Amino acid sequence: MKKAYLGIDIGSISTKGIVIDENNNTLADSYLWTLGNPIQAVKNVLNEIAGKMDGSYTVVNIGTTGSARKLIGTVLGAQVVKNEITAHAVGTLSVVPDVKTILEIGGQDSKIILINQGVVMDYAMNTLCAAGTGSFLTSQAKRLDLDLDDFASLALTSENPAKIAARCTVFAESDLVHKAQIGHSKADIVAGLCRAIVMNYLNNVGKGKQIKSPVVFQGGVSKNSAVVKEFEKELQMPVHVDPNGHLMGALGVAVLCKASKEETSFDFSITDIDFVTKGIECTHCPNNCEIICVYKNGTLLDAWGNRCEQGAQK
Amino acid sequence: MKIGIPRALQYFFYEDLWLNFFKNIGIETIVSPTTNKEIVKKGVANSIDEACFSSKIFIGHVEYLLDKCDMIFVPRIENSAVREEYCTRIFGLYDLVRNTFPDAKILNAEVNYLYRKRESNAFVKIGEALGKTKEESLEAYQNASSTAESIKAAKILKQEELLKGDGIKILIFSHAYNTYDACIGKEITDYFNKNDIKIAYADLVDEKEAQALTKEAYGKRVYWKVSAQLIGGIEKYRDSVDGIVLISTFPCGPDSIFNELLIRMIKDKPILSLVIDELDASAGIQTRLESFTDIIMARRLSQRTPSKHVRNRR
Repeated sequence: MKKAYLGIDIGSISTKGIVIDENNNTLADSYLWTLGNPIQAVKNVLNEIAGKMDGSYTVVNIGTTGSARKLIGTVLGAQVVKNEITAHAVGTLSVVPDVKTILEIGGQDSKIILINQGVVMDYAMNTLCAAGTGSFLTSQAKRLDLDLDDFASLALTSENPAKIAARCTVFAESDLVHKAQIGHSKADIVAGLCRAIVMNYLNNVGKGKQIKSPVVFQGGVSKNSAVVKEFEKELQMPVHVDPNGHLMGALGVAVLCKASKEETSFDFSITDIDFVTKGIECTHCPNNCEIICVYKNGTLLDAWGNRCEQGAQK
Repeated sequence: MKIGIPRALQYFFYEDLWLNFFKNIGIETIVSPTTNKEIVKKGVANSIDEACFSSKIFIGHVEYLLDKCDMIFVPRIENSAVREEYCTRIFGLYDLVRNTFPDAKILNAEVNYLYRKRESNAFVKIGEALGKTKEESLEAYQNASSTAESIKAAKILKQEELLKGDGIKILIFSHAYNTYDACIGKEITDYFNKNDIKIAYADLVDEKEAQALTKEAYGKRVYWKVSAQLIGGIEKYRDSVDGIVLISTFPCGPDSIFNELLIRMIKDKPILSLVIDELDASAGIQTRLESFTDIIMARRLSQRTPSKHVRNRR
């Protein structure tokens, strides 16, 4: 049996899975919507991957990343549970070894990662606010009655993008309505939105950061070619978008799994096991910690969220 | 007679002085417990939205003490010498508490060196209100003051020893009332402790030394007393640590200037800036702490160019 490594990235919007061999070659991958149910999404991803896998490989190590990394890490018994920043950097470095800057705009997060000689030197994430992320584009596309795929192609036809204030989603939205009412064409508005996303990103997340080439752009929004074009125009340097850019986080943890050298046996039949999560509020002290309990076939697998021993569930 | 002392804001600057003074004059004190969710809730409910999170917490502590003591100790400390001003949120506390809880009995004294209201005079006034003679109070104050000074000197010495040792070290730049509060800094310091990262605190520095260092580095006096001291702490310790963590509460006026200044001035160390508010979002903080830790670990491993000061002098 040849060894394989499984990486899963469970984001707010989508769940990604990838299996690689010893030489970082992709053996199988999957990309599905999380739909608010990370455990089910992971089961679906695993089922899809199991169907694509070559029988001569066996998964010896698994890793998770993304906002549900801890939950899914517990459910799958993962050896590596890693934050998104490190996972994305490692994944991207395995594909583009000389990358200096990673721009990432996801469903609700946006981040910038600066790399020097293969080491992450600095990063920034959007703070309290999700302005200018994928979910904003999705909702605006819906509002303009556009399919997300048509969104980019329509934006690319514009020669005179409308100026749209993108500091805040609420203002951007009212600005958008205003531009439409005073007669700007839909193409110009859509192009203006793409530009606004870029400006918002560079002025908030990228503020004060030195963006050096080679630049790699990832996350769901990188699929929007109009946003890519705006980035290139603004940065005056080429911006690479890998067709597998959405898998970089998953790939990163898979690579970290390989590096960890730990081995375990993993069985895809885990998708048949019933996992239930329950949130409870601890009543032992006025902190009322929210404790998450994960049950596997009815028995408590793990629990977390308590600040002190009083809230320990097992 | 029992005096209540809110465990918030000024308390973290004057803990040893105050507690020893009251002990020396033989007055019983009750300090509110470490901040918990209940106290936060009370504080937020009784404060205006614009107040910073730390001062909302203070109000919560006052409310906790209302029915547990005869008087609540809320001095009005405007400065600790001429041109060493506290933030307005701190020197306005007496009026804030008086107006928020009109029926509360407050033990107040004013310290304002601009009007020759020295700290010693304030303690004589406090003693007077509690039926002590001037001599009794002055002796109690002087003893408490030297006890507090030697406690602080010992802490500084201990920190200097810690920084001479091996291991990954970080420096926390935050007002003491944030760093040591159970609902603000504790989650962050707990995380570093759990990961065997040594923590140094920028507020553990001799005040005179801090002033001299700040002036040397930035060419001018820093207006706010606490910020000036913390910046001196950064100057003193920055070469001995792997990274710097800035913790502030939303919306802190002085921090909004100095955090930004530090991020621009310090180019040779990774800096993590965390802003805490009452909207408990520990998931985001965890991700940032994890990736910051990855960065300082990776930098250690790669042992790049030795760190040197990069300063833009005016």
